[in-house]
Amino acid sequence: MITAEQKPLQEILGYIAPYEKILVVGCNECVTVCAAGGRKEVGLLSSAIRLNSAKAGKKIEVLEHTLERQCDPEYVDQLAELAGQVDAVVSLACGCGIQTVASQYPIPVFPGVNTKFMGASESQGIWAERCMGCGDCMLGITGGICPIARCSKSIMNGPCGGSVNGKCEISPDVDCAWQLIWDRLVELGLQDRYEELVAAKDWRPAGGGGPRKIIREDLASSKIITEDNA
Amino acid sequence: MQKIKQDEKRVLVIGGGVGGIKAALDLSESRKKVLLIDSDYAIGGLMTQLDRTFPTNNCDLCTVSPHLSAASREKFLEVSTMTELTSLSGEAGNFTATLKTAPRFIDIDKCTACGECLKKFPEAVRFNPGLDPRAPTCMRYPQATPYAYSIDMEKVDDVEALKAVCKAGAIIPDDTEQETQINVASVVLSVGAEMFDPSVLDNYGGGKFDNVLPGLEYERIMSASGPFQGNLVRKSDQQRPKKVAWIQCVGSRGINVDDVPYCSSVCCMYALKEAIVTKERFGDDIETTIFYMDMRTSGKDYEQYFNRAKEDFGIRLIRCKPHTVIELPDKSLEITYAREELSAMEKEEFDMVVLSTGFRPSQKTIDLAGAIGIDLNEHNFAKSGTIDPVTTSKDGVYVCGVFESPKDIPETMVQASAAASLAGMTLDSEEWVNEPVSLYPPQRDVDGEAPKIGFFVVDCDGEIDQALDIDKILENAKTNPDVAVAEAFKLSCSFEAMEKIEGLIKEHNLNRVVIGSGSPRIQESMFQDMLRRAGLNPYLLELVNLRDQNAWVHNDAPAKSLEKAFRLVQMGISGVRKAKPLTENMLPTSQNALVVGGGVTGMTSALELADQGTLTYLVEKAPVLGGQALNLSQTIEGDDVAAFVKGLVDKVSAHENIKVFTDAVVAEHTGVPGKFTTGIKTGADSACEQIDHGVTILATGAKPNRPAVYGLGELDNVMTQLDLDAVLENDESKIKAMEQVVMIQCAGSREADNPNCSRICCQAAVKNALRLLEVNPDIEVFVLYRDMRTYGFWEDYYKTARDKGVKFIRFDLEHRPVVREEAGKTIVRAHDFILGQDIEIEADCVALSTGFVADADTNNELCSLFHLPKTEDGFFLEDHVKLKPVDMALHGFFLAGTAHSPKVIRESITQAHAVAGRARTMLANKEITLGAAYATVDPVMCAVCLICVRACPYDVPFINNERHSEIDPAKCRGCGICAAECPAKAIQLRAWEDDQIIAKIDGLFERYN
Repeated sequence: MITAEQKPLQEILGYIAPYEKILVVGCNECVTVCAAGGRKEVGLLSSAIRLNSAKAGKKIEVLEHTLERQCDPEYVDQLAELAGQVDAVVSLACGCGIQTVASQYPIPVFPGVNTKFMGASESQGIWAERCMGCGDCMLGITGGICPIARCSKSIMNGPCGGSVNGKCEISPDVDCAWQLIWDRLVELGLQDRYEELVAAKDWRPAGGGGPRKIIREDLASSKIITEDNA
Repeated sequence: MQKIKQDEKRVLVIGGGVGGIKAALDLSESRKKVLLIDSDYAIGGLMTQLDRTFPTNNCDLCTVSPHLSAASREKFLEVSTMTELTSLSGEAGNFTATLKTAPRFIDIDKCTACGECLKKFPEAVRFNPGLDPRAPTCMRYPQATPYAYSIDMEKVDDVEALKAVCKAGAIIPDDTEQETQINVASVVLSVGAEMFDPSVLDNYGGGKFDNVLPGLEYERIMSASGPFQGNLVRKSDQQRPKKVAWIQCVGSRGINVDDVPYCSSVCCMYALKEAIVTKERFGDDIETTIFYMDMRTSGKDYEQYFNRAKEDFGIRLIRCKPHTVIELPDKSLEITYAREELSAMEKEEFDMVVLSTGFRPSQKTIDLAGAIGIDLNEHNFAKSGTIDPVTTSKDGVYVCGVFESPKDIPETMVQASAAASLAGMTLDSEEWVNEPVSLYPPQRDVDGEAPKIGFFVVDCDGEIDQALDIDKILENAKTNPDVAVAEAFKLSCSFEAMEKIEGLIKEHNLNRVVIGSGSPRIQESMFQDMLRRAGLNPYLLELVNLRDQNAWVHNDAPAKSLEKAFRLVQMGISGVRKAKPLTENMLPTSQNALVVGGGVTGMTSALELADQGTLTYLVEKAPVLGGQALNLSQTIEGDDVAAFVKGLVDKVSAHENIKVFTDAVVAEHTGVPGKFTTGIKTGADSACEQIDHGVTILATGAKPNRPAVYGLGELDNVMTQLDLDAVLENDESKIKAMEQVVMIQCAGSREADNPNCSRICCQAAVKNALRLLEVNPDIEVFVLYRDMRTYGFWEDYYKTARDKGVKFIRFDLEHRPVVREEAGKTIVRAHDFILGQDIEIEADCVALSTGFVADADTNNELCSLFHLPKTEDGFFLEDHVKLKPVDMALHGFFLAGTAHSPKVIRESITQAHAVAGRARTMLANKEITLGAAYATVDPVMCAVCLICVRACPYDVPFINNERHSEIDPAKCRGCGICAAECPAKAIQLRAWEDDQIIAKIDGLFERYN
C-alpha cells in the first residue's frame, strides 16, 4: 500500500489563498486505509479551511468529494461537473492520484498530503516501509526481508559495521535489516543462503533508467498504445 | 379508600424506606408479586430527608431501579401506605397476614396534590418533620409517593366546605379503617429505626438551644425542599454561620443512662459529608470542625472521602468527645473539650452545633417483632443469623437494613436485595407474555410529519431551580422553531411530572420531546419509557443535562450558566429534529449463570441460583473450592468457619444444577448481556469449554495482604492475624506460653501506597485478643491502633476486650510503632499520647492486622476480558456506589464478596444472596432488548481498511465475503468508536448519526433572539 500523511494546514492554506471556491477530493483506496485522505479527512480538512477563512474574514466555498480511486482516469472523469464549478482542487490522494486529476482538468490541483512510501501496517496507526520498488525482487534469497527497503544503506551482502546489538546505527529504533535476515535464515535453517554473494545490483529497473512504465500488450488496447507511442 | 388486592399469594415487604423499596422493586423485577406497606402516608423513609448522599453528594432515589419500566412495576408491585401488619399466622410459604389500613380521607387515584385543601384547611394537615415553617403540607417531601395528601379528619369542622374545595372530588369524609387478610409466601422486614432524640441529654443542649440540632435536621436545612429552601442559616437569627461544629457519637457508644453501647455506623460519614457540602455549597470560609472519638470510615473508598475532607476541604478534626455545650447571649454556642496533648479543658465558640445522632429501634418495631414472633437482640434490633444476616429467628421472615443492625444506604441496599432474593424463593415468577409489546400502546407513525417539539424541565429536587432561572430557560426555548410546548415541573421527578408530560404529548400531538433534567445515565430509560406510554418511539427524545452540566458546576457564574443552559437546550431541540424512530431487536436470553470464584461468596450465590432451577457454572482458579475462608477458623460471633465451608462445598459438589470447574480460568468471552458465551480453560488443557449464560457473577475475592512492614517476613515473632488464627486453632500450648502479645492495626492499609481501610482488621484484632485471653487468661494483649472501627454491634466486643484488660494504644502516621529484635527478644516501641512519651513493650508475638488487597492479576485479566471497570486500588467497580452496590456498569454483571471490597464473611454472604437475586431479576426476562443504537456499515463506502476491526473493543466488526465490514447488531454495544474512527465515513451509529450531531452543533451557535 502507498502511505501518505496530511500536509501541514498552513501549507495547504497558502496554496489556496487566491481562490474563492475550491474542491477537496479524497481517494477511497490507500490514503483512506492509512487515514490520510479518505472521506473523513476530506471532511476534516474542508472544515478546517472553512473555519480558518471565517476567522480571517475571508470568503471561501469548499466542495467535498471522494473518488473510489484517483489514479484511474475513469474515476477521475466523475469529477467533471464539480471541477467545472471551482477555481482550484486540493487532492488528498497520493502523488499518482494528484497527477491524474491535474492531467484531466485545466485548473490548479494542489497536493493535500505528502506521499511517503510503500509500506505495511504493523498495527493500528503504525505503517512501516517495506518495499522501494527496485524492479528486481530479491526477497527470495533474503528470507523474505528486503535489504533494499529496510537497510539504511540498501547493501546487499551482510551488515555494515554500524550494526550493533541488532540495531542500525542511524537510530536505536531501527532494526538492522541484515540482523533480521540472518535471524530469519537461521529460523528457516537456510544459513547457507547467506554465503551466496549477490553481484552488484542493476539499478535500471529501480528507476535508474528513467521513468518506468509497464505495458501489458495482452491487456492494453491498441488505441492507448498508439497514443502513447505518438 | 384504599383496597388491597387479596386474590393472590405475594411477598409482603414491610417498611417503605429505601431498603423496602429496593426489596419490592427487586421482587417485581423478578416478576414476583409483592405488596409494600408503610405505616406513614408516603413511602421513602429516612433517605428522602437527607439533603445529598455521599460520595457523589446528590439525590437520586430514581437510580434504584432504572431498568424496571413503570408498566411492569404496576403489574407486580402494589403499594399501600398508612397500613400496618397486626398479626401473622401460618408458616413459611403460606402465611396469613392481617393488615390494618388507617383512613386517609382522600382518594389517592383522584387527588392531584394541587394543595387547595391545604391552603383552606391548614389546621387539618400535618407538618414536615423537623423544622419546616413553610406553608403547611403533609407531603413529607416534594416527590412523595403516592403523590397525594392526607387529612386529619378530627381537625376538620366543616366537611362540606372541605369537599367543595377539592376540584378533583377526592375527599372521602366517611373513609374508615380497613382490615385486610392476605396470603403471604414470605415477609421482608425493612422497618428501620428512629433517629435518637438528643433532647434527653442534659449536656449538649439538643432541643433546648436554637442553634444546636441533630444531623438529620441539618440535612433538612441544607435541602432545597427544607425549611429555608436550601439556604444554610441559623435558626435563631437566619444568618449564615461562620463556624459549625459536629459532635460525634451523641447517644451512641456510651455508658450513660440515655446512651446505647453500640456504634450507629453511619454518623462519621454523614458528618464528613455535611461538613464537605457546607464548604462546597455555602462557602469555603465557613469553618467546619468535627469532634470525634474514632473516625469510622471503613466502607468502600470511604477512607479516601475522609482524606479529601481533611486535605482538600480543610475540615478540622479534633479527637475528643466534648463535655458540654452552653448557649451564649447571642445564641452562639460554647463547647468545652479536652485534647490528648493538652492537660486542660479548652473552650471554643461556634455559631452552630450539629449533634451526630444515631439509630434507636422504635417501640413500634419492637411491637411488630412481637406480632410477627421474631426474636430481638439485646439492643432490640432483629436477632439475625450470625452467618446469614438477613434471616431471622422465624422461617420465611427476612430482615434488611437498619432493623437488622445500624448501617448505611449501600449496605441496606445489599441486604434488601439479599432479603428479597431469599423471600422470593418460595414464590414462582409470573409467566412472560410477549413483553414489552403487550405493555405499551402501538407507536404512532411520525414519518413525514413536521417536527412538533415539546420541551420540559424536570427538576428533581430543586437543584436546577436553585442555580438557574427556569422561566427564562422556557422563554428562550419557546423562541426556537418547532417548539409547541415548553413547561417546567419543579421539585418533581416522579410519576406526576411524567404523567403530565404524557398528557401534553397526546394533547398537542407532539412528535419530538426534549427534557432538561439530570444525568441521562439514570433518567434516559425512565423518559424513554414515558414516550412509549405516550405512543411515541422512545428514540424521538433528547436529554439536556441542566443539572450536572450547569447547576452543579457553575455556582460562581449564574449569568454565564444561564446563557450556557440556553445553548444546551437549543442543542437538544436542534438535535431532536433529526431524531429518527428506531426499532429495538429482541433476543431470547440464556437462562444459565456463570459464577467466577468458588469461595464462600461464589458458592452461596451458585447454590441459591441452582436451587431455583438455574444451571450454574462455577469456576474456581484453585484446585479446591473454599477460597480464603479455608484460612480462617472462626468468626467473631464464634461460628465454626471450617465446618461451614465444608457444608457449602459438599452441597455445591452434589448439586445437579451446578457444574464446578476447579483449577480453571475464564479464557474467552463474547456476547451481550442476557446472552454471553464464555470459554473456560481447565488445568494445562489448551482447549476451552464453551458455555452460554445470561448473567455473570464475579466473586473472585481478594488477597490477604503481606506487606513488608514492622518486620513481617524478617522477624520470627512477627506474623499476621491469619497466622495467629492458625496458631490459636492448632497450637494452644504456644499461646499458653505467651506473656505479652502486641497487635498493630492498619499494617499496610490507610497508607500512601494503599490508602483504603481494610475494614475487617479491627474486629479481627478484637476477636483474636478475646480468643487469646480465653486460652490464656494471664496474657497481656496490647492493640496499637489508629481508629478502632468496630462498627455496629462489634462495639460490644471492643468494650468486652477493654473490660477484660486488653490495652488499646493509639498511634498516628507521625508516630508509627517500631518493631525490633534485641538479644533474642522482640520489642515494640510505641508512642503513648496520654503519657506524651515513647514506651517499649516486649512481645512474644506481634500480630499485624494486614487486611486484604485486590488480587491485581486476576482482576486485571477479568476486567480486560469482560470489559469491566476497576477502582483505583484494583477492586471491581460497581455501577452506583450507593444505590446499585452489587450491579456492575455493564448490564448482566454482578459483583459480590471481597472482590467488591474487603469485608467479613457474613457481609460477603449477604452480597452473595443479593447478586443471586439481582441475577434472577435479569433471568426473569426471557428476552432481552438490544439497544437500537448500534453501528451500521455502508458497504459502498467501505474501504475495507480494517480500522473498525482493530478499533472495536468488543471484536465485533469483521470483513465479510462481500468484501466490506459487517457489524452484528446483536453484538454491537453502541460505543461509537468505529463510527468515529472510520476513515471512509462508512459507519454510522444509529441514534448518534452525523446529521444529528451536526444539527446539535448548529443549534449551539444559532441565535434566535
